[in-house]
Amino acid sequence: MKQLEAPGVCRIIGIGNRYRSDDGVGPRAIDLLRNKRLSLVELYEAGDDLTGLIQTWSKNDSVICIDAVQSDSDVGRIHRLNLLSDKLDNISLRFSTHSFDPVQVARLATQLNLEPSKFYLYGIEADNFSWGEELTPEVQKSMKKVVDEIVLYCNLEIS
Amino acid sequence: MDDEKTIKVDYLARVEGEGAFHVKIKNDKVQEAKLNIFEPPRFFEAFLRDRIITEAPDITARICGICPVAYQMSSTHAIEKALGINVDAPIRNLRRLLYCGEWIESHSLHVYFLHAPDFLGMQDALEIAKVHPEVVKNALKLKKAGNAIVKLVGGREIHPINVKIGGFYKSIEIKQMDELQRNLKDVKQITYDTLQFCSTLEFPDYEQDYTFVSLRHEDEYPMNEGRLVSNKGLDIDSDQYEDYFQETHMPHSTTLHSTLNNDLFFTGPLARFNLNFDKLPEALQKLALKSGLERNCKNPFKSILVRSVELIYAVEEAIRIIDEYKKPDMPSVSYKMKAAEGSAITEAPRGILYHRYLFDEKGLIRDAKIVAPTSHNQKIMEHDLFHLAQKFVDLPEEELTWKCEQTIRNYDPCISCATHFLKLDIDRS
Repeated sequence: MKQLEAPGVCRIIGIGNRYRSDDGVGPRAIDLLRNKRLSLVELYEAGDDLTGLIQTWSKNDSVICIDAVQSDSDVGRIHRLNLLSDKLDNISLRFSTHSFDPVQVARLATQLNLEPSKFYLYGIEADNFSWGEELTPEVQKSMKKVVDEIVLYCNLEIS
Repeated sequence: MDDEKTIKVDYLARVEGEGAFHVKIKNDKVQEAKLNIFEPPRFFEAFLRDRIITEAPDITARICGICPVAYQMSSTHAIEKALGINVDAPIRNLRRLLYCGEWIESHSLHVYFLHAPDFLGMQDALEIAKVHPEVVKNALKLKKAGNAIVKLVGGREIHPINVKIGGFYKSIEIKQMDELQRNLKDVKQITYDTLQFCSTLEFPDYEQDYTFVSLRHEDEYPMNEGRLVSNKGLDIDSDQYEDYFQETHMPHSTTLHSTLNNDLFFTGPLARFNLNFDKLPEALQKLALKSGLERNCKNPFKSILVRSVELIYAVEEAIRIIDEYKKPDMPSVSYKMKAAEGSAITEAPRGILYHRYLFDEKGLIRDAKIVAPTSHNQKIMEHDLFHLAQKFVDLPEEELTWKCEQTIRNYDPCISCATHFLKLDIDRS
């Protein structure tokens, strides 16, 4: 008889440093999501090193990362990536500002057969990475849009 | 006709933050080597002004996501020194345990994910995972054991919040240490396997007569305390640091370049190892020598071996501290506020980290100075780039570029920290 698997959890991870202006968009999105009181959702804040993230999920979880990116697009542009199915070979290493970015984390997790069932990245095109606690207005606006999309996704998944 | 070329790497991978390098070669002679650091300046010293001293450990911990503990420890020790605070032995031990956690996290990340691919001719840890998945899984396990220490003692894994002036906000129950101890004993063998693995790597034949600088403590391998010493006669207290060390702004970089009496110096694991070899346990000294390290190692590529030695040390030291742990009677000691000035140096995973604070009778910070390990090492990295490029100038461009990148990664630069600060540029003109 096939063993029943425990239901997966949706793990939402805000990546970045909230004292480095736009780099803080991930953690600040997590702050907004905390107030939405979503069920079956675990919220995390990750700093600059993402390798440890691989051990935070199990195979049947869904994972959504929110991160500031630099890809020479318009500030505030939202990049939506499915890290398990999108062709990622052409994604520039500069896509994220961290030494081991979410794209590499997804590749490594897949290589080690530790990937979650779903793995998405919301990358928000950022402008300012200097010392400070303010987000650029375009980044702030996109963050709210991303949070609304994630809330909708979580509610749809549960229903 | 002159044969000129530039080797240029616009974005240096496998380092924390953003930087580049540029090496200009004319008729097979290296003309210049520059490390460009172009993250915007972060002005955190100005940000600290008018903040109260109790905020300094938490604010400075935010400077770096890789070595927040180092920032907390240097700031806390500097302020405590100014106020004449002496913490009890159990608090001191907990702080050393927290530092062990950061060394384990940072060194396992650098050895396996950032530096080992250079020696194996691989692009990244993904390629290692394809060939040796168990090795990468063990590296993650080791790193997780370091994270667990920071999470428990520091209050959380990212930007810990439990450190305060005088001690900790909350002390740790002995029972809470049990799981940590089990994790550490479980990963101890991985640290020995790491050194064994690194001892099989091939190291470029490159040595320099470096001035090594690190802390040295009478009784232990240095982390939080000690005098600042060098292999060329320096022996000072942190209060004398600014009499000996200078910072200069260079137009090509947003980090300040640090010098010792206007000359180059080298800080980090290799310096610590050379200046504190006798403070390592005897069995580890023998193992280090057997692995390919020399008593006075001058080959910066062997830093990966030293990090592996320090991984063994940090795990065993953490186990020892937990075995002997007694919960402090109070999580922190009390103190009286007064106007004062104090400085401290601690050993971040990548080298010495200097903090100085001047504050008024209300504890408001009037002046702060922070010099990160990557600022300390910026000039020596450029020196190595120059000399290594000259030594291997006949190599094909792709190989030379690879060696130059590897040279910079010997220092595990943390550009995010250093920005007041990496992308490579070799110019053969």
